[in-house]
Amino acid sequence: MSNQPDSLRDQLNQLMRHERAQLLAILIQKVNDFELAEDALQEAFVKAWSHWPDAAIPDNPKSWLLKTAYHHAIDGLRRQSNFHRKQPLISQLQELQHELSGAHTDHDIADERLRLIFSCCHPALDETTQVALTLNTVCGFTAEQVAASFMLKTTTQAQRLVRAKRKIKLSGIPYQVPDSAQLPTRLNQVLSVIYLIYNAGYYAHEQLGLINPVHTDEAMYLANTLNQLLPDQAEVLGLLALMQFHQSRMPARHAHPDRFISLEHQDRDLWDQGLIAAANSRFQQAMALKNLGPYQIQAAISGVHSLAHSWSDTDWTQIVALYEKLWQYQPTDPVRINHAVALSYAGDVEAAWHLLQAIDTQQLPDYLPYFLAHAQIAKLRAEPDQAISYLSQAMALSKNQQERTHIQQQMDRLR
Amino acid sequence: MQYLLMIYSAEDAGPQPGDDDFMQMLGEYQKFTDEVEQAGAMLGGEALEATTTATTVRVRNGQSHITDGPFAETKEALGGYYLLDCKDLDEAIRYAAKIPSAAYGCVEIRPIMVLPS
Repeated sequence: MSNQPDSLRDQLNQLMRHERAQLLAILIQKVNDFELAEDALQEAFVKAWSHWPDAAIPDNPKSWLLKTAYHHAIDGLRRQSNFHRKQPLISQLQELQHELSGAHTDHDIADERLRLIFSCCHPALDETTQVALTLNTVCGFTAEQVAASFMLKTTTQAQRLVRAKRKIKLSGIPYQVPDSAQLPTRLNQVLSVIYLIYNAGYYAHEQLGLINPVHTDEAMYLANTLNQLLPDQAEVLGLLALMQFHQSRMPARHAHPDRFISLEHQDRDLWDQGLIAAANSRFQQAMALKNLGPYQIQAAISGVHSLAHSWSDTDWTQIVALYEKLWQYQPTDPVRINHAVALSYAGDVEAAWHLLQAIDTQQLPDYLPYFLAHAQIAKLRAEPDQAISYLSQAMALSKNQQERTHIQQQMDRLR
Repeated sequence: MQYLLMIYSAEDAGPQPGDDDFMQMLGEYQKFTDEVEQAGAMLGGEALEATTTATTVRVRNGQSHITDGPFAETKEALGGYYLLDCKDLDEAIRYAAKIPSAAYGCVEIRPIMVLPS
């Protein structure tokens, strides 16, 4: 293999990108300590960087990195004050290190990322911590990168990550895939975290530009990993289909350099038909499993849009029916708001208006889509002043310059 | 791992002594205690007298300050506890959910600290 520093850097970066989570997942399982495992893996990558240029990349780089990380973990344990109590663990790690010294190939290394994902998304951690921890440990974001996703100071985010990792260790959060009784609820939580990551990219705040492809890519990576390691789960396939439908519209959504284009005004010729086909096929796979859930229903709604040749061609009756179904799984205000908007497009403006009236605005004073929906329905009820008033409330809540431009255009059209 | 499951509820919530369903609740507690004993998880556990019987002691600058009542005047008070030996937090959470008072109060789970020897 070449020992040119540039190609070595590329290869190491590739290894870090593709194998880091797998190696970390194994290390955490063995040492039962997130921080120790991360430090050991970091040391192993540093060592690879300084050793490989002379000796060339070994044939089994993962085994090499794992062996080296065990070595650093043992060192780390020996430095701890109560290290004599850690002797059984140290012996166990030495044995693992020895095993990797022989004719061990990278093929023999088990993929333990599923355990890692379920631990990061354990309900004993709050949801924002689950998202942060998943980005940090599974996706390899630095504390600084995670902080940027949440608009937090790096030091604050770093402290929260450390606290979460210590809580996992001290409170005995198990490092395992939940049993069949727990799996449905726990899997839902994992999917919720993945979709939050996706949306953090899709609805990025203005500092990050309108879309952050890193987050959407990571969410796709997580969902694909989940589907690969835990196959035939209808809702995992449903979420994958949903995100692929969203992705298929990206070229049309971002066809203009400085504003996003809403579904209504998109050039549908720009939709990625390959992704739509892939999403449809995921969706069919999900439906064949006959275990309906909210992600499959949302994918179905997105799929109905993908079938329509134009905005006016959309089957709104079908979409209304799907929102009614979704309400049975997610009786939340956002679902009710979307249901109302769909009703208004299906022609039942009064029913839409009544549905919005049922929402307790005290519960969601800052929810931008609520005001946009109200504006839309006021417009259809021929109440332009009302519509403008709702749009200006939406404007005040928008954190995104391009979205504000979009709202301004709607206001201008009403005047 | 060892976990302390602390049972909190408002003292006027749930069945009260003398109520018909009080005996039923005691039966449910007995059932739970039997379950954790048979599973080998039980290390200890007691019900506590009401917070009106509580005394709080603070030592400041070597002086003991005794106050009548619990340290925090909140509606929900510690009413009892179980000390359990569990495989992991998930098992502790499963037991906590079976404690009868969890239905109207709540159960706080705290891992027991392993002190350096």
